[in-house]
Amino acid sequence: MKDKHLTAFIEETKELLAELESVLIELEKKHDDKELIAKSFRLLHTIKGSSGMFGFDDISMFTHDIENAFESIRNGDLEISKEIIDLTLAAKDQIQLMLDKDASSKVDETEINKIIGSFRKIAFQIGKSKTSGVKKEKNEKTYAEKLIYNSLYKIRFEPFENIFLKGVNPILLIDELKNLGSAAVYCITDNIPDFEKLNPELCYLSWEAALVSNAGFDEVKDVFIFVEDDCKLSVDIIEENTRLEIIEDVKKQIIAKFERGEKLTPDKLIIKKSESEKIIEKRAPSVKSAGKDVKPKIEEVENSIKAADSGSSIRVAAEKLDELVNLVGELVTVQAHLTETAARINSSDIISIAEQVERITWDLRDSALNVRMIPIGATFSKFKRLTRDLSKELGKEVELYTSGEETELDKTVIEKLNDPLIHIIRNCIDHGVETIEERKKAGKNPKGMINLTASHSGANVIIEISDDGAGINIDKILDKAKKKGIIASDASLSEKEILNLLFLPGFSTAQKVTSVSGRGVGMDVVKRSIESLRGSVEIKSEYGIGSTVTLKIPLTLAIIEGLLIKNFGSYFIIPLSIVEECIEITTEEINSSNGRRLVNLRNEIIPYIYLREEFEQLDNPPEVQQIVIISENSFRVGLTVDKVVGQHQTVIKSLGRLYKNTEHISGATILGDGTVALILDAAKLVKQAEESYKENTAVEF
Amino acid sequence: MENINIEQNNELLEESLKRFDQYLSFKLDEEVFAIQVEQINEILEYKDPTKVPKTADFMKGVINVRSSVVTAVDLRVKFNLKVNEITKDSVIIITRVNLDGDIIDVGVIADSVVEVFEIADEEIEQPPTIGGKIDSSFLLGIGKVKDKLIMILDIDAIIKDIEIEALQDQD
Repeated sequence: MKDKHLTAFIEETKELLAELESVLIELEKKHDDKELIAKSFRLLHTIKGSSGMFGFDDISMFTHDIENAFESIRNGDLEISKEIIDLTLAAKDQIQLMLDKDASSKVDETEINKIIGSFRKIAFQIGKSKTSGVKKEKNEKTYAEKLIYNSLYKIRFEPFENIFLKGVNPILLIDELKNLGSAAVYCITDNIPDFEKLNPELCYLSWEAALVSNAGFDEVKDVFIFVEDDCKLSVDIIEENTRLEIIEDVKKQIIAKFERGEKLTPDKLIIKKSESEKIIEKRAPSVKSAGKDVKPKIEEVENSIKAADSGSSIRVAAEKLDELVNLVGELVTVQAHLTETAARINSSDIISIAEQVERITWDLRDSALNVRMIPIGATFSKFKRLTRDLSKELGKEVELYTSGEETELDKTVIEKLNDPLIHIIRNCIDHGVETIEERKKAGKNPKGMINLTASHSGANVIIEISDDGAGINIDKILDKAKKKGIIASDASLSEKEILNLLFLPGFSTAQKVTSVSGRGVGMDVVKRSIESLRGSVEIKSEYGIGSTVTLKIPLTLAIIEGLLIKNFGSYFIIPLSIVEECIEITTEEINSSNGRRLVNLRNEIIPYIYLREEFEQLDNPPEVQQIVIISENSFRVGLTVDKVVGQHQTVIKSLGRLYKNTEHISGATILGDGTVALILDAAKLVKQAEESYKENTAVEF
Repeated sequence: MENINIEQNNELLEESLKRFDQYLSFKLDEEVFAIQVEQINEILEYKDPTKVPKTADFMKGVINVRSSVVTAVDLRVKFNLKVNEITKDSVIIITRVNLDGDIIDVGVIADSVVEVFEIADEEIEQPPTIGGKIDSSFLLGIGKVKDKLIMILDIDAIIKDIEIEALQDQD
């Protein structure tokens, strides 16, 4: 049980850290965005509290100092500076390291102490400026005024009985509440059962408190932020921003009531929220005279409550979703079998049931796959940090612009996209964008630009990374390829072919090895990982103007639409998304072509692959065969097949480790009758045909 | 008192060390082989695997085992034994193989299943390093059951060898 909570905590904290990072990056651009400041404070506060609860005391203590700094910022005592952002980002990285308990040995104590030291120095400076009486104009209320204008809050805190099991000590919360100002706390013991019924592991107590404090409504509520779901909590403003002596009066009355053993609940002081608003409105004139508008504050509170309510979601373990998708996959297979059987039996009753099952299965399949779809935006914000740090390290100025964050992709696909994207963006910053001087010389904006966009295109998602840097020097690549002996010294290649050389293993054009790139793992790794997602990579570049890398990724890895074909007794699947049309060809035509595999399609000559020959099948072909025309990257190729069976919902299964390096086959699927059909790796087949076609035509001319 | 206890414990320990493992024996052509029962998931009636084009002969293809795709290998081809026609006795034994820490299922085609038997570790002899029909690195040992010699296969080592061969094949 404990482990489960612990993993949930670690996962959640990692998410919070990621969010913090993107908020900080935003904040760097908009220094005085109050909402962002408040958000970073809340995130830090949550991280501090929950890590304390789960025994990560080091994180909790570490975060405490940072939180303090952000509190000062929130209060307007301190302004956001680049230094603070840098420090906080560094701190975020440290927290992440501390989270990975296995890696705890790697946590650099001196680094942590340095960060804490810097934060304390900042805090010390605030203290000094405060005592020396320096007032900031931005600050609406002076410190002295704050002392006078206080609010009276009525807080009722009823923890659920099982609160101890969550590791919460209510007394600490009450103590924290007391620290906000002067508080009178009353403990309600009515619910304590008889001794024999008492379970010492349960909490039977609840508390009521009257708090006089200059803290805002949010701040008071934040005390209970971690137990929100584990208690009934009400915080009401009874008097807002009133002079202290008035409040003290009311407070005294309340305390008197406490002392008499009366509860606040039935008292007239307990006002529902709407009523409390009315009271505040009534008081508006006096409040306004104090130079404060109260209304916006209430709206703020309401908005924050609304924000918490909207977009309700639940956290589900990824394995459960995988299991669901697997089951749906099996259902799709069984449904195919049912449809087949129904058609064979030819009973209209069963056929109509089969059709219904089919419809529901497809809907179910779509929603099951949809559940795993997550927007790619979360990954994008990570790259902003990468760009920021990297360009700083290299002494360049680069800004990353993103669009299409809402584009959804399968979770597993997004995870696998992370590394290739990091690699490409690194390349852009390191090799693509020039140094500031070079850019000035070329008459460009000294600040480089990288655009990262995602968009849908049919069953694929297109991710484009473009920079306005130096572009790729084609001659340099050609030179290097010749030097390395990758191509013959007299070879003449088209621009596209030269750019494709970049994808060869061990090909790196970086002049020198930096910490960023040029370590031998190059674009070939990118290409391989994208291909493992059944996607493709393309580079375009204009020398002096910039380069663009385009990734084409299928939406999901689990289920695709396929065209089922039969060839020499085995079934194969061709992904339907690349199929254009089917035409007939006689075996006689094939045999009389002298090995030139070309077919005339509406006056266009298209090369085709004779699969029977390609797969070394020696049985006798049927008299008439089919050619399925497929196209990939605007190159069209035909594949000969014995028979086209029809459309098929294909649940993709891996062929397993023993077939890891199999060419031409990218996976397998199970048909309705239980036999296994192989999925043709069409992209690879097209490429092979393209290459051999070019070779042949080159020989001819 | 204590001494006796330790002695007793030692006896118990020795007894438990003298392990009896269970093995499944099966026939490839006329030879009898065995695999530890621990490593066997199930035995299926023979069904034709789907051949993956351009792969080695002993890679028979893939079969559907309760909705997952499992590789089937033909050790008769691998061991240069006679490949008999498929009969009603032909089976595919689904084994659980440990490939460098990865646990994968692999189907082994056999002409027929013989029996499940028990044999103590001590009664298993080291295979002869030379002169054997089967490469000794593929054998865990040779057991003697009812005066018959049975070759106990190291299925992990065999599949590892097949993987290496399959990778080389495609290069």
